[in-house]
Formats: sequence, C-alpha cells, structure tokens
Amino acid sequence: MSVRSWISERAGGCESAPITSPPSWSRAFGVALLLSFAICGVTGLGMSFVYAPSVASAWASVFYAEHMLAGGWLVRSLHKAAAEASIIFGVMALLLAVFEGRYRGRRDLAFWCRALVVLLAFGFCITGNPLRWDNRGYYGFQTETNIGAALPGGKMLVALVVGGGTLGNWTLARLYALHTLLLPLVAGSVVWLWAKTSRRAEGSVDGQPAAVLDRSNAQLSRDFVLALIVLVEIFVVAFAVRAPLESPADPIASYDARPEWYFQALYVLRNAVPPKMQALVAGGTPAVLGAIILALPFLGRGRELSSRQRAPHFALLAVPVVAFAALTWAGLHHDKTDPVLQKALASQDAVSHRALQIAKATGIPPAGALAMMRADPIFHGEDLYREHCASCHVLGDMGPADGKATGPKLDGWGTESWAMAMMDDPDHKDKFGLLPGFKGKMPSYTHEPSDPEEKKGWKPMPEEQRRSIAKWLAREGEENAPLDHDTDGYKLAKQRCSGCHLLRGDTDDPDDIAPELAGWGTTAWMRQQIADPGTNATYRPGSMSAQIEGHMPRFVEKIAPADLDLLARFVRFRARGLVSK
Amino acid sequence: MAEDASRRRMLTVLAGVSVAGLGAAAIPAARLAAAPASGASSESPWVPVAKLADLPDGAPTRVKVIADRIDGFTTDRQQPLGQVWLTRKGDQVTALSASCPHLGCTVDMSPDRTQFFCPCHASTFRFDGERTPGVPNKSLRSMDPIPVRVTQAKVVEVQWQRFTPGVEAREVVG
Repeated sequence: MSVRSWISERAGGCESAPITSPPSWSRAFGVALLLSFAICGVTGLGMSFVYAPSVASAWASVFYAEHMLAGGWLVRSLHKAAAEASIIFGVMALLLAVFEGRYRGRRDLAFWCRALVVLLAFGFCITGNPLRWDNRGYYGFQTETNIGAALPGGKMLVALVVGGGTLGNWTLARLYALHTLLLPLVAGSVVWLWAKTSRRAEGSVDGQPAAVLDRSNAQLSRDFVLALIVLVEIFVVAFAVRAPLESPADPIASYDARPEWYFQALYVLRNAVPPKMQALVAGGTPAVLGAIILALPFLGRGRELSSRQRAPHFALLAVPVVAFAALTWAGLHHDKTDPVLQKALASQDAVSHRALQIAKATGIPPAGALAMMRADPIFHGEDLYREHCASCHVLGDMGPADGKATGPKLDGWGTESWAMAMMDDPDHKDKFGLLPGFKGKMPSYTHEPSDPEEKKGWKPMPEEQRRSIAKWLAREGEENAPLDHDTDGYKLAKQRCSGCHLLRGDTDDPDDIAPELAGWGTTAWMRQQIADPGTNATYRPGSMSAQIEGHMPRFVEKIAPADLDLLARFVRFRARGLVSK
Repeated sequence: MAEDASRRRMLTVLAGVSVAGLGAAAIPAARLAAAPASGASSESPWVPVAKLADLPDGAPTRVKVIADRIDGFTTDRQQPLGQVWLTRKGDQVTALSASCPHLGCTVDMSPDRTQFFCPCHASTFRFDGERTPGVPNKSLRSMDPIPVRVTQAKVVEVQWQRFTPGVEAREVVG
C-alpha cells in the first residue's frame, strides 16, 4: 500500500490532477521560499526550547545556546540564513510570477498570498532580531519602532508591540508571542490559502479542485533545482556568517545603530530627503510597493495579454526592486568605507568580545548580562574612567589630547620603569610637568639642580641604586607582596626617599606632601587615591590645600564604593597593560 | 423533516453557545494582551544627578540619571535610566536629554568640543540644544529640555522624561 493511498483511506478524497499550465520558475521559487520558511520553523522550534524572553534572561539564554550547547550556533545561523533567504527567494518568486503572468485571472489570490508571505518574512525578521537583546537588536528595533511611531496611526500599533513607551520586559514577552505564535499562525493560514487557491487555479477533476496536484516532470526538476540551491545557499551562509550576538542591550550605551541589510535601501532613501519628508519616505515607499502588488491583477483585467503587453506590469515591480537592490549595495558600500563608522564598529566589537569573554569566564548572574557587564572592571571600569578621570589623565587611547593633560599619564603606573622615569625626570610633561602645584616639588636623581644652593654637594644617584629602589617599589605594587620582600631595596628607599616621602607611615618631613610609597602600585593604593588623595595613605592632607594648584579632587562622594573598587582595578590593570580590551 | 429542523436548531444553538463562550474567553485575553500598552505613567520623581559645585561654568557635562527602573513585572533599584547634558551658568542649570530627538541615539560631544553631535545620522546641535544653524540636520526639532532644579543644598535634580523621536512636536512618552 502506497503512502498516498494509506492517507487517502484515512483522510478522505485524494484525487490528483495534472497541472495543465507549463512548467514555471516562479513556482519553483515559491517552493524555495516555503523551504526557507520550513527551515526557520524547525530551527526556531529548537531555539524556543532554550530561549527565555525577559530582559535579565534573553541575552543569557541566547549566549548559552550559541556558545555552550553543541551545535547551537549552527541552529541560530541556519535560522538567520533561512530567514534572509526567504526574503530574497520570496521577492524573486514574486517578480517571476509577474514575469510569467501568474498574477492574473484566477491566480490573483495566490499572487497576493505569495506577496503576503514575503511581507510576513519581513515581519519575522523585525520581531526576531531584538529577541536576542543585544545592542544591535535593541537599537535596531528602537529605530524601527521610532520610525513606525512617527507614521499616521503608528503610535498605537508600536505601543501595542512594545508594550508601552519603553523597550523592556513587556517588549520581549510580546515579540516572543508574535514571533513564535501569532506570525507562524498567520503565515500557516496564508500558505494554506495559497496552496488551496493554487490547486483551484492549476488543476481540476471534473470541474472540482484537485486535492493534490501532479507536477509534471519538467516542473519537478525546476522545483528540485531551486530547493537544492536554497538549501546550499542557507547552509553555506550559515557556516560563513554566524548569527550575531553583540554585547548585552544597554539602554544608555552610545551605540551607532545601523539597519540590517534588508532595510538599508529605506535607510539610504530616508537619509537622502529633507527631515520633514522622512516619515513620508519611510511609510510611503512600502505603501506604494504594496499598492502596486494589490493593483497588478486588476491591470487589463478580463483581457488576454501577451507577454509583451504584460511587460509594463513587470516593470512596475521590477524597477523598484532593482532600485532597492542598487540602494542597498550603495548603502552597504558607503558604510564599509566610512572611517568614523568603522571606528565605532571596532569599539562596539571590542565591547562584544569582552561580554563573551566574561560570560564564558564567570558565567552570567541571575540579574542578567547587563548586570554582569556593569560589574566588570574592564568594561565598566573604562566607562567610569572616561566619565571621571579622562578629562585630566591619559591612559591608553583615553584622556586629553597631547599637552592638554592636567594630571600624570597613567600608562605604566606602578611599574619599575615608571619609578625609574620619575627619579630621572619628575617634571616631564607625562609626570608633574603640566601640574603647577606639583612641578618642581620632587628633585631629579640624575639631573643637576639649577639652584646654586642645592647644587652644592649634589651627586647623581648611581643607576644600580635607582634600579634597586624602582624594583622594590614595583614589588610593593604587587598585590599581597610580603612585608619583607626585599629588605635591601626597602633600606635604600628608607635612606633615600623618606626624607620627603612617607614609608609605612614614617617620614622625616611631616609637612611635605610627598605620598606614601608602601603599597604604591596596588589596587588598594589607587582606590584610596581616587576616593580621597589627602589621608596620608597615599598623598598628605596638605596636597589638597587650595595653594596646591591642580591637585586631584576627592571622588569618595561621587563614585559608589563598588565602582571605586572597579575603577581602581581597571586603572591598575590597564596601566600595566595586563588586560587589553 | 421535523427531526432535521430540530437537529439544525440544536446545532445552531450549540454553535451560538460555543462562539459566545469563545468570545467570553477571548475578550479578557485580548484585554490582557493589550494591557501593558496602555499602562498609565505616573509623574516621574526628581532625581539628584550632580552637585552644583562639580559642574564647570559654561561647559556641558553629561550625567547619568540613576533611579529605580520599573520594567513591566520587575523593579530594578538604582539603575541608569538615561543621560542628560547639564550646562551651568552661575547658579542656573539647564538640562537637555542626551537622547537624540531624531531617532533616539545617544548625543555626544563633537570631537572639537564646540557643539553636540549625534553619531547615528551626524546631526549637530548647539550647546543650548538648538540645531546648529546652516548645517543640514536630520532632526525635526531641537534637543529636548528636561525639567531641572537646584535644591537649597546646591544639588542638581532632574525629572527624567523620554520624548517621541522623529516628530516635530515634543511629546512625552513612558
């Protein structure tokens, strides 16, 4: 018993009719479109078993699928590649249907169903992208909803989709419901209607629509070729371009948002017109395309049209599609060659890379991936540094332009070479040179003083002594260094430095402002220096007096204790080049 | 025949009862689905963002607005809600939302620090929030002012608000 007759026995009539129309490429592209949808469905179903739609869990669950579950990345990449293939093959199917004249007469409803499926493909992309809740998805969706809200009647629709005014938990819950329940239900119904109308249009048995259509061998071979092409395309793209997972969505990030490629043309068009026409372009362009698709079956209705007579109809759809493709290419090319954007993307990439690094190393707390990022000394430390320190101190690529700094450069702080450079030339522009209140306070151990009084009996400190002190200092800067780690170095520092400096609380000059050398270079020292530089634990109370021009401010009341810890760790790490971005 | 008629009547009643039941279940379900969209927003509280003494005179400073973030079914204590550019002139402070009125990207300082600059579509604004005159601008309105006050203790407080981007009129959302 064949499968068909087995089904026929149980599910009723299964009469088949041969397709009477000639073999068609647009039907084959339709098959490719449905196959892409099916791959989206299968991979999406798999992903829905590991995805958790809430602000705290969305990124974490996608990260888990992508990086922790075997083959998870392939499922995500296939899902994305198939979704994008459904747009490409769907548009092609639509174009070919018009080219072949398969939009007229009894085929109008099938044609509109086809167009509706392409529209749904866009709907799936719009509702699916933000689900991973990374910056790219978040800001892309924010831009889409902002554009949508500015259109007539768009505000209410956007509020319904977003779940209020701000993207958040409601948004994810609703997008998930739309993406995995409502849209598939609608898509399934439309595909069912499409199949039903195709049957009525293509073949009949005794005037009744056939339950099954027998495709001719010529049609089957075309279907097969297209199915093969779309499968190969989806798998090749999935392996070549992994589905993105950037850093967790941060509503206050400075993120340079760019549209996905399928919205690039609209983005270019929108940017090319004056501001007042932007909403018109954003809403009007898709509306015009929709109107063309709706109107096509009505053109020359009731008359037989030759393929030449149908050519203007084809042009109505083909010209906008080709223009869109050209604009897409132009937009992508422009972005690729825009140095400012590329720089922003590189820095966004670095943050994303860091997010994955921490998530893999420490795991993601229940509070979510953004909380994880905000507890990271490198990511959040840099944020804090830019906010509180970079207006005075240079560290790596952060800080004021050359010659504009009003605090020492922090690269190398806490290291032997930094201490050596300080003993050699404390008034160098990278040390105290640009600080009026500190310049000239520390003498050089290698350069003869200019003051004749000080010159008398002055001798440079031998290099091995300087080196020995610098080594001791660098060792002091190691976390948890034992007190007696280098007794010779300590003795030398005591002998040569404590005339001005504090050394484990002792100094010959209590009125000087020179800082404590014990623990210099540790996180604790740096934390204290940032919180309050004038406590004797680092610099002295005198260093904070109004007479010392350009002294460092206290941050203890401005930065939360946990952030102070992070910032101190960040400065120490980055100064030593220990952790790069 | 009579049997047929009564059978048809029964079927009609059955269908009617089923549809009514389905409707009775669907209406509250639809209301549930729509509820978060119409959530009434209460007036946002005043949030301290800086000390007056910490703001340089004339040069805008970007600060984070940190307050409780109520997101649907969760409340996150002391989270950044957004950013505000504060400009002090003597004892007076003005506040502008750092969210671009064009499409909501974060407005930065221009590299030469002479005006505000949005990286997404290269819109530029003067420090008073007006669109830089003579330069093409994608935004339909100037930057959005945020209610700001200085307390007796010389603390700068703002009332965080978000505005619909991309439209000419300034409308508060959320």
